[in-house]
Amino acid sequence: MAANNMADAFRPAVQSVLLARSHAFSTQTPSQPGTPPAAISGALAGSMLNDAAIEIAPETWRSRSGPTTRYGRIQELGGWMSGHPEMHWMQPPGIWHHSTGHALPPRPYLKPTLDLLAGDGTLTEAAAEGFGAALRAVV
Amino acid sequence: MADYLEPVLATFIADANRYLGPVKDMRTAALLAEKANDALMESCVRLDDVLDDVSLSAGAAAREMNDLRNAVGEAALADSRLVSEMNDLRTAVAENTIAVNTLAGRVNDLRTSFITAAAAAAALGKASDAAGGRAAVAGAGMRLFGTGIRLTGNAIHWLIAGTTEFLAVAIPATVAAGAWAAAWAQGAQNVEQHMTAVYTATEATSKMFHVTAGQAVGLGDALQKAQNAANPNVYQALGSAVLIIRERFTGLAQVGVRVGRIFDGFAAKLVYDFSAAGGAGAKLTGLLSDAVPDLVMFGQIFGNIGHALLNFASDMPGLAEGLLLFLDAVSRVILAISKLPRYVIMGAMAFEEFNRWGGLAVTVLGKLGFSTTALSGGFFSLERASGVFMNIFRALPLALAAGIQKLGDFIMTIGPFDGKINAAGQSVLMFGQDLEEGIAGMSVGAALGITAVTAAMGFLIYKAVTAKTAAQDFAASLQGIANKASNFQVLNVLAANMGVLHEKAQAAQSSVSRLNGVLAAGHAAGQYSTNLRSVGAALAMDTQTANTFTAAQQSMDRQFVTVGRHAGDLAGTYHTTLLGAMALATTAGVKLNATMSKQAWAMAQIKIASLVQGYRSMGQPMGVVGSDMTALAIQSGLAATKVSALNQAWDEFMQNLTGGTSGLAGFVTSMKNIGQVAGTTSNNLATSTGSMTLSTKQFADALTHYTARGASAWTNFDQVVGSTIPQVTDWLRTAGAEGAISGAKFTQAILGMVRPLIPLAAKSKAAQAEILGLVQQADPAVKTWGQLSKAIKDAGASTSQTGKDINGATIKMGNMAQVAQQLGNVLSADLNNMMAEARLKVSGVSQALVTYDQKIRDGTSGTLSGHRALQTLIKDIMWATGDTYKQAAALAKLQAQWNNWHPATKTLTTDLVTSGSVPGSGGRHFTGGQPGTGNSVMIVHQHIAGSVLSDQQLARAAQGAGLRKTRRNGSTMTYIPGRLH
Repeated sequence: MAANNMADAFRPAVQSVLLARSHAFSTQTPSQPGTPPAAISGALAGSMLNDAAIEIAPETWRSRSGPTTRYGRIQELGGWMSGHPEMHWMQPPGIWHHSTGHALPPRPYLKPTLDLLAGDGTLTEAAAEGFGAALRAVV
Repeated sequence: MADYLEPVLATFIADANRYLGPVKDMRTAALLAEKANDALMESCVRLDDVLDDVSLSAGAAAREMNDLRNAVGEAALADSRLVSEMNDLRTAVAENTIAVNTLAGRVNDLRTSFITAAAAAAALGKASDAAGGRAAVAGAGMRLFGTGIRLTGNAIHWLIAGTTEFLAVAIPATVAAGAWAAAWAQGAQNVEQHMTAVYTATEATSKMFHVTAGQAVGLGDALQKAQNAANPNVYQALGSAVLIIRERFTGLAQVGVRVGRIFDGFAAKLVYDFSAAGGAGAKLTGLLSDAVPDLVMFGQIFGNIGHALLNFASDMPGLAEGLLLFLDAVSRVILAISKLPRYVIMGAMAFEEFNRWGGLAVTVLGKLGFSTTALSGGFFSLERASGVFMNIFRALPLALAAGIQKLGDFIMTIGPFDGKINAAGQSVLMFGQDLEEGIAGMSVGAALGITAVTAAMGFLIYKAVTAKTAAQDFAASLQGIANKASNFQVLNVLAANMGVLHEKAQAAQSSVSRLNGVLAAGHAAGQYSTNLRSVGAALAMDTQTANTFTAAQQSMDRQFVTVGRHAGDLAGTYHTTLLGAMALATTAGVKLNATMSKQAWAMAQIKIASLVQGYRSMGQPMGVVGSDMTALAIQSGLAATKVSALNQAWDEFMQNLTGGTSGLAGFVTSMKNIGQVAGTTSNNLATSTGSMTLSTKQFADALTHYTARGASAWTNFDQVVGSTIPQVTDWLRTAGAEGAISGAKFTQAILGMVRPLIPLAAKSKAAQAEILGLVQQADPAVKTWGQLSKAIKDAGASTSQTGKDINGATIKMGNMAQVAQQLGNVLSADLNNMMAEARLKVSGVSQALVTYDQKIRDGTSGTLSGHRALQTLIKDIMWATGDTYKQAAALAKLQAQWNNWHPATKTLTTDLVTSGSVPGSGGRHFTGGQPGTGNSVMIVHQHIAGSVLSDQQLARAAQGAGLRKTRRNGSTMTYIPGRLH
């Protein structure tokens, strides 16, 4: 339960980061490169998923948390995005742009959130609470 | 097929090994300790068996030793018996010789006595002849009306002379008394009429003018107070009589009916007898025909006798006056004696009564054959007192000696047995005779000495038996305080007493435990010194002290519960509040804590029922009696709220506040109007301002200076602020105490009264300060003039609103039942809280819980001392909560378990060894990017004191729950690893 508790504390924190800012479809994102992406539909935040802890070694358990949308990885790490056959967007409003490929800058949202929760003790507290609850539940 | 890139993830790993290791070690150690404990307990049991065997063997050996010792003792006794019988034989021979000699002497004494008796008989014959002659002369005397009283000529002379002398004095004295009565008659009648008028007038107006009849005639109000205090007693007696009559009236009524019927028959018979048919009327007429001449003749006889006596009296030589002077002197001597110190008179009277009634006792003892000394001397003589004392002192020993002699005589009659029994009987007889001679020959001094020693020993024994320890004295003093407390105070007193006694008992118990430890250590070390004996004595004393305090505490607790229960019963019976019930018991003279026994409580109930019946018989309906008690309860409740003291404090504050300006204004006004007669000022704002001719602005200006106009304005202003409004405020506060007005309404009402003063004080800081001081009674937050204006506006305060509030409060205060309930509820809550606190305070639950908790932490809860600690905790819980043993045991274990899981020393530390990241650079959608490495790893250390977990429990604690996903809308779904979602 300690591992699960850490993941449980992490997932809503990431979702709140992803939904902190938003913009309309086909408009330019207000997110600067290097900062978490701004939401259009909230699908990325909604795709955040935790898996249950598994024992990877004696008395050692692991749980994971991450997005399941197709663009979850490229938003975190950055990379080249190609269209089918092209992509289009307005910039500024009313002027359409078209492109068959585009280099997306990294907009990390997992790592900053992980650093934040690890730094302020949230993950530590969640793990301890989970362990204590588990102990009380079985005794 | 698409080439999937590794997803971006945050990985969390919890490694419980660092925690589980120490916990497992703890568990292993606990299991070992448990096994060791079991082994120890088994050893103890075996040791106990061995001790039992040793004890049995020692007991058998001791019994054999005793048998041997008894055998030796019996042999020695048989030897001593043989020696004793030989001595008895020698003694019997010697006594037989003495008895023969004694018998010869008695024969001679008998002969001498015979000769003496013959001579006395001859003398008695001569004396009898002389007495016969004198009796014949005496028989010639007169006898009064055939009685045994001789009426000689000398006696007749004394009768006539004495009667005449008496009449010579009594007639003038009677005439003088008549003259005194005649002279005082008019004045006495005036006094009687005046006192009647005073009583009537004061009884009618006492409620208005508060002057009683006693005060009107200068006697003060002591009589009225006494009468008022006695009224409930009178009503109670009346009620008792009514109840008795009601219980027995059926029989009395039947008796009355029967008597009435008999009287009716008698009256009817009389009517018949005095009718013409009966003839009784004619007989009565004949009998009374000579009534008047007979009466005239009787008048003449008495008149002649009276005239003759008057003539004799006027010619008497005056000896009566001399006798009166003598009697007057004697009476003065008696008066002087009566003024001697009390102990002198008491001592003399005790001495006289000892001699007088002692003489009677001696006479009785003489009839029983125990009198040894003839009494002589007067009732105030030491000689007689000595005789009485010696007779009484010797009575019991003489009876004993007589009994011994009788026993000797009896033994001598038993029979032969070689004359031994006869000899033994003679020995007993002679012992009784010697005892009798010794007692008879005892001097007064020896008897007094023996009596003094006996009395002293008796006194010492009495003091030893009735002596009290300091603890008993202390407990008795606390009980005395409770006995003196009123019914309203007794619960507080009992609760306080229980607290004090509990502390004392705990201190004594601590000392007992300490001394027990000292004794145990000393015995273990093989020390049996004098010091240890003194420790043992101190231990016994402290144990007694602890028991005394505990018993007193339990007694107080029983009284506490009884008072509450009985007050509740009374409240239910007479439909009043708890306070009303206490007032009812007080009025009936019942102390609720003195109703511990069923009989005492039954008597108290009868007294209270009699009082209520008395009130009803005096015209108070049952409901009104309940209201009377409720009114008393309200009075007591208000006293308990200290509202009077609060009102007084605020009044003094306002008087101090307005004292400066009021005094100065009064001084200026007085100087201006000097020579004029000042009129009274009404305590009413309308009247005060109504008499002014100043406008509001002019009034406000006037308050800024002390001219004649300003002084008048200040006088009126201070009258309102310092007197009128505070009086209303006091009333509102009282209403608040009775629950008739809320705090918000209280504030609103005061602000409403203040509102019309705002424009009047607009220009004077001093006037504003007075108003602000007044308002702070209701709202301490209002400290400035601006805050006051805002508060008035926010509260919607106005004079008309204040009037509505006061009307509403007045209506509520008129509902006595509601007011009493309000105050009664407060008291009931206080009572319940007090009982709970008192019980918890003295229960010792907290200390017992700490002790048992410590046993659990030490791992000694399974030992004998741990078991004792648990039993102590259960017992205290049972006492404090009234639970059964089963309930208390469950509660104790639950509490201990809770403490186990929430120990004060529990530490929970977590270490974050590494913090993870999601590195990687670039990558196309579905094709680029690298999986992150260096994920976060969580190491948790958790130490829970006192827990022993199994391996399985630890594994379950460490593992997680099932696979799951939580959607944004809060629903969940099963997550299968490796599948794209």
